[in-house]
Amino acid sequence: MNDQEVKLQLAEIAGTWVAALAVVIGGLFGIFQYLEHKAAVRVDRSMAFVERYHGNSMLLEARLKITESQAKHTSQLNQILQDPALNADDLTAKYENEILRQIKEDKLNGSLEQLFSFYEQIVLCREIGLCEEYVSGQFFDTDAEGFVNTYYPYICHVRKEWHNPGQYKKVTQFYSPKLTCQL
Amino acid sequence: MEHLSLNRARQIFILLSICTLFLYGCNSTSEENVEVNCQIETNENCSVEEDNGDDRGYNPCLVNKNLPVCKK
Repeated sequence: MNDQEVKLQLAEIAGTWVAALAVVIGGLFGIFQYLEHKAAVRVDRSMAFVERYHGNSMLLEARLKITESQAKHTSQLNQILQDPALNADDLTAKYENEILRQIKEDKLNGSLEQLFSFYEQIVLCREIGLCEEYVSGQFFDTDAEGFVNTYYPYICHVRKEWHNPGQYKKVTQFYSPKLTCQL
Repeated sequence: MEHLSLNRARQIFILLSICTLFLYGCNSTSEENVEVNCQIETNENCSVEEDNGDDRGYNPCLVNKNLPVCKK
């Protein structure tokens, strides 16, 4: 084997290795791009929920109605919640009655239905991996948790009235897994 | 023959360089582009902690944790 043939063979070997390496790097790059795209699609889906939350007129109207009612009754709720004379059971009973009274007085049923359904859709989207967990959490968790905690008596009331213990189960399990309603 | 092989090696080398360039380029742009809202002149306070929105909306559990819904 002369010098030229050795050089030729070395070039062949180097070429093959470089080609293999290029294929591997190209493949990894492809996978990386695919994962990036998948994550971006999830973020887009979460942002679509955010747009609906702030842009859908019916949802906005429902939220506004609930906010107005809350502003009107917050002091009454705080009075009950801060009453030192109430034990845990009395506190729960009084709070639940007060919330149900407010809902009836301000006719919040429709608005509550809308918002609970909306929050449930987001939870569902997160659970099946269609929405991005962190983005959805940042935009909705605080609102939804406060909302569920405030209006849980309505959920229990609906479950009892409709004989449906599974009503809004997803949203309560997600934000308040230990909540139980007396049916 | 030798010329062909060297040509191929050169082409593959260029391809490899481009792939590497793409890989390096991927994360070269910062994902966050948040402008600082604080103005030193007005002594506005910026919280070091990230805003997690805990101050949004009414939550009875922040007033009294004895409600059944507050048990986590």
